[in-house]
Amino acid sequence: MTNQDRINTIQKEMGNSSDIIVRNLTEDLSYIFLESVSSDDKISDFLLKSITNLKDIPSTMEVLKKTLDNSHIEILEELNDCYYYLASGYTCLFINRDKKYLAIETKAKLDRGISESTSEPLIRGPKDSFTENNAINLGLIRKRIKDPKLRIKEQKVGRRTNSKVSLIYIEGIAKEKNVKTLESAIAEIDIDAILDTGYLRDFLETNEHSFFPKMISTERPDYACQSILNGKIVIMVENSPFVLITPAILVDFFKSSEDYYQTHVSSSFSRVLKVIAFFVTIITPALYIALMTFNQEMIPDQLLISLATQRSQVPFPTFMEVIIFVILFEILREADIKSPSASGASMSIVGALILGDAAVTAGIVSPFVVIVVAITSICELVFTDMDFINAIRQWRLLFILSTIFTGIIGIVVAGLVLIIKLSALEPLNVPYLIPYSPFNSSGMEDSIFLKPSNKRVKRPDYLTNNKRRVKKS
Amino acid sequence: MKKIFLLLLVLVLSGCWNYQELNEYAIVTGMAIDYKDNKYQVSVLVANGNKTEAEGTKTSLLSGEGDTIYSAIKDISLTSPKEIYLSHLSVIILSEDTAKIGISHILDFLLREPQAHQNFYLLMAKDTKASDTLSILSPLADYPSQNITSNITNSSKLQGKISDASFNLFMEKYLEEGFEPIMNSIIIVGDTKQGQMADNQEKIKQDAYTKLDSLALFQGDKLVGWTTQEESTGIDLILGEIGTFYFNVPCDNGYAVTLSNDYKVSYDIQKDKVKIKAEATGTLREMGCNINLEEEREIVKLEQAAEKEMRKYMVNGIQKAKQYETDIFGFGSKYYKKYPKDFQKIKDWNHFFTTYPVEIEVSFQYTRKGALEQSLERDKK
Repeated sequence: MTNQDRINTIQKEMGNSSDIIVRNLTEDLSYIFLESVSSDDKISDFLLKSITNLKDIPSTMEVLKKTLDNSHIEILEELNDCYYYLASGYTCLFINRDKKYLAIETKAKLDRGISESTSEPLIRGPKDSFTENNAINLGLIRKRIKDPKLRIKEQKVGRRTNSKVSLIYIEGIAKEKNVKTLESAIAEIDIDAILDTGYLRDFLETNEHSFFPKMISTERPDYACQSILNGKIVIMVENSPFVLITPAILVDFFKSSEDYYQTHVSSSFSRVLKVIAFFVTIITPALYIALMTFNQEMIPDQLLISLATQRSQVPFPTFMEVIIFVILFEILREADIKSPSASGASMSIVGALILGDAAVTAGIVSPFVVIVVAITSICELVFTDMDFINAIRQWRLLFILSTIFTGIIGIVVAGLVLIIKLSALEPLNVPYLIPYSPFNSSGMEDSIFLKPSNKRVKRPDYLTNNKRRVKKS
Repeated sequence: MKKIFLLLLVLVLSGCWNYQELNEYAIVTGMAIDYKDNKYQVSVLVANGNKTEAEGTKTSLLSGEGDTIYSAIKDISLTSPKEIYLSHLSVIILSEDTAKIGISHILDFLLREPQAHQNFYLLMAKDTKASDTLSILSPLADYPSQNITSNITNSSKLQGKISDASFNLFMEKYLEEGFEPIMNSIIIVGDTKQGQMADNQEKIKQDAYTKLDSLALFQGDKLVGWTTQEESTGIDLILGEIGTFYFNVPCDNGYAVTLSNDYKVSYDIQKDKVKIKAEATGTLREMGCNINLEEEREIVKLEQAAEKEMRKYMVNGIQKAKQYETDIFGFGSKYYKKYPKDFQKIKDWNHFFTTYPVEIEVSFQYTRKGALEQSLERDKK
């Protein structure tokens, strides 16, 4: 096959896309690249300079490779392999006399660089966050864990996107069985596209239904590293600034990477607050309905009288009132997240004034419902993991539904169902409620209450067989 | 999916049992029971009236009539657009006429009523209609009938003029053999008609207000007599149901006001008599006599006077109880526990009680004199 044939095949396969650039340097040597993903500077600096300095063109690719000033050079056997490299920003080089192809890395910089985390900001701790660039993301982890045992296992998933999916763990800490399970699960995925880690979740999570996430997603490299060091496995997908950490248990969602940078007392305190917020945000609206429509005798006299007078102006039943306002708030929240920041001001005016104040004055809701929904949503904002927040929202609605019919009994029943559901979850054979149920002493060192770093001797044994973290002096 | 459907079915089929919106309730915080022309007149104080912009809650007093308490309450329901809700009842006021014919069926109603919490206060209205006491509002109270309930709690905590007036305590005594119940009373001071006007609450000096008064003595479920303030202090002292009380100790030409906050009483029941031993310590709160407080001898003298005074109260209380032939101190029940056979031989304990001798031994000690060392008169010299 001559160079011209090859070029024609590629052009045809890619439908004469406008970003294909072909150049014949000599009769013997041609190269092709996609200008959308390649950098002209790199091509001239690391390819053309070396080639134009050559006196004559070598006859084989192996010899040519040695003459080029570039560290990323691949020799390809098949024409079909070229497409992946072209799309990845490589330049492909052909010589008439050789059947093989040369792919030289000339990627354009198509990412925004490392920026501060927006979804999980911290006060005390590193500010960097993952980006859309796979190599940078890996680098952010590698520069933190300089252990040679750090493993990055890469697979390509997606028939059309060919996205890199990497498992990152430390050999000797992470359980080998878990790595194998994940690896084969990823290998089995047959999907046309993987654009974000979110695509993987459904394939990798076992199919027990409960809304709670079995993987943590984070954009903080320091948090990912903490998890890796504890024996967890990080899953990274090309072009996604969020990585998945598995296995995740309930307690993990009350943790934050900041916890380990502060004193253990303040970390424990903030975790206890989060636990309180967790229950408050799930139960409060349901409890309000139960107390207002079934179990009024539980409200103290004075509060009861003021509640009754507030309620007397509202024409709707209590549960309608609560549901209307909870849903209105969810919509407001959804709008606030999705809307461009320019319209944020008008959003808060509409939200605070119209919903909060005018709705009460107009007699659509009673002031106490506004307080209830406000408490609920404030407590929800304590958590950063979106999947966890969604689980809370869904359970909150379930609690509300069951109380509408049965009052306090409904809360008890829904609470039981919640506990049963949570106990049934076992991501990668780790019980979701560990270290509390079943009790696990090594996990207790870093659960709701955190021991000081020098006393936290063991890694949790449900994640690793290599338990010792701190050597006792 | 099938399971979820079944689960939903369970919820829906329960049919919202016990479902009631809060604003469909008329929340009753106080109840007054009068007896007139062989009919009960029950009045309830509803706390959540119409809300008006300026005043906040508006209360109203609804009344009904019937042969029984229950029918009277149902009679109220006919006049009320909301369901009468008794769970937050905090005070029940009985008129003299009601108490004289016996209140056992009222107690039965209150215990049988599933809504009622049974942690309310029982009071007697003295010299007035029971419903009138509820209609007088205090400007200091946040909601109606609160003025009465918090008055009781404060008074029993701080003064000792009032013993615990709770329904439960009354029932305990009523049901126990050899123990007769007592009840606190409430009076109206001032012009009742004027006090019921809405602007009574806004006046700086009210036309009428309610005040806690002496004790009503019961024999079984019937009212038999009233005590004076001093006698009720004596009765409370013997019952030992108070923690804090004050009294005036006479000295020279004035009084040494004494506050005791550590008081204990013990009984020694014997077949032929009962010995009561009371021990108290106290502090001086107001000194009206010119004596040297730095001298041990004078203090001992004062202590002896205090003991005498306390003894006087107690003796008065016992005399009053004996006069009405009602053993409100529960000597009978203690006697029964100690000498069950002898107790059974006594046919009428209350009659026996009138001849049962009571010996009283009081010891009192001053622990502090307050912020002043001497009496002011002496200091001046």
